[in-house]
Amino acid sequence: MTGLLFRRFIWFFPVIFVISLITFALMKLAPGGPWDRDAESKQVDPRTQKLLDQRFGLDRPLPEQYLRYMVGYPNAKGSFECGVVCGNLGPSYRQRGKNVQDIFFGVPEGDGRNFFHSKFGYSLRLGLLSLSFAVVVGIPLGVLSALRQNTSVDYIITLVTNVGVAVPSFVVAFFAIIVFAVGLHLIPVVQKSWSGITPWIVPAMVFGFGTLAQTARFTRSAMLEVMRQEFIRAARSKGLRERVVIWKHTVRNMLIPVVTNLGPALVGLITGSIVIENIFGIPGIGRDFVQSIGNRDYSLIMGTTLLYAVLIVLGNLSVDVLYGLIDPRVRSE
Amino acid sequence: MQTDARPLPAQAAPAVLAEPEGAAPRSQWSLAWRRFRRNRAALVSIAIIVMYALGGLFAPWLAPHNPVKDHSGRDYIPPFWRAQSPAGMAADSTFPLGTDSQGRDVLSRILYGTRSSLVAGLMPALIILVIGSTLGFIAGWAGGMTDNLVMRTTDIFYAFPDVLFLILIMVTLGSTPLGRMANGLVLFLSALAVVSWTGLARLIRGSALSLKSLEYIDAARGLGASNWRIITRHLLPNSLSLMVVWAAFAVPRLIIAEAILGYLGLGLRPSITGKEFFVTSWGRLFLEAYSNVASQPDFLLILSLVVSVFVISFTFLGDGLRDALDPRAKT
Repeated sequence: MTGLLFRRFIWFFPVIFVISLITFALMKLAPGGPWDRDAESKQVDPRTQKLLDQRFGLDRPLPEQYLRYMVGYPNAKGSFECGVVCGNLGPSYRQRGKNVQDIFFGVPEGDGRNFFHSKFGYSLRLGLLSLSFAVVVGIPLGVLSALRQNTSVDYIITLVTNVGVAVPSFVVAFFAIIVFAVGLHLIPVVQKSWSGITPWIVPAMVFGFGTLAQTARFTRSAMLEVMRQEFIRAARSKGLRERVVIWKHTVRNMLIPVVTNLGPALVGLITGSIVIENIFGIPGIGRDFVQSIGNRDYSLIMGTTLLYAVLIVLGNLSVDVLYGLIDPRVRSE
Repeated sequence: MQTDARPLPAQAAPAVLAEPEGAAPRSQWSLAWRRFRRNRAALVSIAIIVMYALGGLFAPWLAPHNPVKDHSGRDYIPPFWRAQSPAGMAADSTFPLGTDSQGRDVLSRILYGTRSSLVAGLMPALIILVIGSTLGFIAGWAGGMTDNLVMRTTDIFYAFPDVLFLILIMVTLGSTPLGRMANGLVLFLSALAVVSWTGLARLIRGSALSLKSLEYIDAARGLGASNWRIITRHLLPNSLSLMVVWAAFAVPRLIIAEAILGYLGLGLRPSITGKEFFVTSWGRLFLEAYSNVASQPDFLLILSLVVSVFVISFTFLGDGLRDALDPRAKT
């Protein structure tokens, strides 16, 4: 188990390397730079531009720029300015005086502000709330569906989950806005404050719906599979109460495939957040990504891509760990 | 003993499949079709998908109005079931589904949008089928270093945040000559293909690996068949059902990818003159409908329904195809 996790962890480095390289290449292929303005507004003076380029190291050859960003460089004071390897995602080109990691993780000033009020905190809250909603509702729905197999309850749950798997959260979000914002006036179309739990309910339900449907489907088929096994029959013939048979013997064994399928679901929740943050106007890391590319804010683009990639790798890794915790057979391998 | 190596005569096939006496020999595909026909949801889905395809194909003849013409002073007309829109306009029978913020006919725009969105879903699926299955076959059949290389590459792409990557490509290369070709379609297709070939490659590699160990492949090799012949005559036909099912699930995913990019303002470039083939797409329409949701919620509602029905149909079709082509697989 430790060996497997270690191999998975080592794999992390080439993945981050290749992703950063591709992102870097794409950014540099794009015409324009961070100092460009709209054609209508005042252009940056060429001399200023040269100075800026010099200060940010944009006048150096591309491989050197890449190395400076990833590993680090000696700064003006003579000390070594460490790069991405130390978790320094570099200064933003557009948001003056701010490093990219401050933009992501920095807590805004004000009373009672904590980590969850940073940009990353907002994205994290959305993801965690959606995932909890999907698991807390999805697994019981799947269990219920399996226990009442081929009844009208089962048919309704199967129909709803089929639709939920097919229709992406992107479209579900629009339905939710039409129903809850325009039709019933329960929420504003554009949410202004994100404090408390109320403004999060609709976005989290929308975002978690697909995962919920998928979880319910996997739970149902895993339940049915386990219920057919010999040891369940043995447990019943031993005279165990139905409740014990289901909750202690069936559900615990059914969780294994369900948990493994949460891995891809988690990854979907991480990458999908860009669109949901955009639609509901949640100030997370994904919302301004499109704008940052348009601005050619190189370090912010790179930082966002790297952060998402790390999250995806960690998401997959955490599922491996969880898998080992639930299924002792994996641990011994 | 030599005669045993010869293939069984064709007449023996029905007996093996326990078909009634006198029935014509059935191929695997006709058996699959018989199973598929019993799935009513899948049949209805096919009918719906054909309707969409015809709607998109014949958009210029079906659309009641020019999709890019602004009818000035006739904006925000509600659809036929609503007497008055929130903006205060009355329904008009010449615009059955109403007009948008610029007075353009919603029905016509949706028909034209369907056309581009279908192309945006089908074309990359075809490209990925070619790239992904070729790499999958090569990896599975060759094994060793080649296999390792291809599979490690898919591992890297698997960790790649794909929506992010699509956005990145579309924004950075959108204004280059490649990005301008065919209203951005060329760039969009290549970006989608690069991002999503890995799943299929893994699937096909797995299939090639399991087929490779079967005895009839050994027999073909023993008879001196070339690698090319074994891949095209044995591996490909036996993996075809996998590919068909993959495509049925991939097309709606790709269409949604286009819709997401279009909504972010990055998909296909809208045509202003209406002379180009790609006038608008579902993604573009989502962006327009959502920006005016307060004045005209019905446009967004119609569009969401149109897209939902389409993706649901494709999912049911995929389920039906999977059940029909691989009866052993569990649903």
